[in-house]
Amino acid sequence: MSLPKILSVDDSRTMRMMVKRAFRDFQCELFEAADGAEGLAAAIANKPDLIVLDYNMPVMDGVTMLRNMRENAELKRTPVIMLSAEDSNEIISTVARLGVRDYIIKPFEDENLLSKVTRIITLERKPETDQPPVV
Amino acid sequence: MMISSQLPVSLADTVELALKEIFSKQLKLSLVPAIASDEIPDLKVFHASVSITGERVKASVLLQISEAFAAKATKILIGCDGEGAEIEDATGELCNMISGRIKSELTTAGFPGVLGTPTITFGSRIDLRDTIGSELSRAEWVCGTDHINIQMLIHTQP
Repeated sequence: MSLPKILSVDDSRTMRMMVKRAFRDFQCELFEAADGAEGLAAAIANKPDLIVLDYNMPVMDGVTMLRNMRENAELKRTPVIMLSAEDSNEIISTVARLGVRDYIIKPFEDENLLSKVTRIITLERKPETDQPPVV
Repeated sequence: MMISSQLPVSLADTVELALKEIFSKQLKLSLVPAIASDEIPDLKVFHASVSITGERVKASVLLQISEAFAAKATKILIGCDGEGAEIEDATGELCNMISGRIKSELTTAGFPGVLGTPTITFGSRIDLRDTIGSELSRAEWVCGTDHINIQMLIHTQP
């Protein structure tokens, strides 16, 4: 099975480097984008298995990127974890309606991010041999 | 019903809580309040500022840290030595996280808003000035040998 592809979308280079550091021992291909527009283009080009997405970004924010993804046949089911300093109920409800799997509020612990990513990747990429036999 | 424009929480406490939480959780560093006899070094500093804007609130959070501390914080955050732009970005992200925590407290207190993107400059230390109808919190902390200055100016309305 190929390595899982993860896309990190955040306008802060620091946050992208923190995410990269968190994944240092996790076998994956990590892609980066600095805003929602870049993120959408990277998602279309790379078909990631999971996206770690910020909310507050210039050019295109995380919610707009999500809405665009959900209208794209190839990306509408891509799992997304939000990683943001924004924690308002309104925003969390909005992204939940757009199918976001989890929401991590900054500051974050590497272990917390990794455990959520691992759980989603494991569920999404379950090998066919683990599937119940078709009777 | 009369709607108050007064914050039901102490601004100083809110800022302190946010600052300490980000320092302890993200940087694994502890802070102590600077005492009057602590001499503030006359250094050029990074100023990182983030706005919080809502229908009933306009606020600005200003974090001022020395170049040396900014480099130290950057190394902790990204796991390696940072260079100019990386140190600026990390300083902005630090202020963004602190502001996010403050925004959360303001929302709970009935003053919801949205965060602006951080702006970062470098130069001599500055002091925010309060104006009529605004409230100012200014606090000095020490982390090891480094001074951390945080100021918040807020204007609320009913």
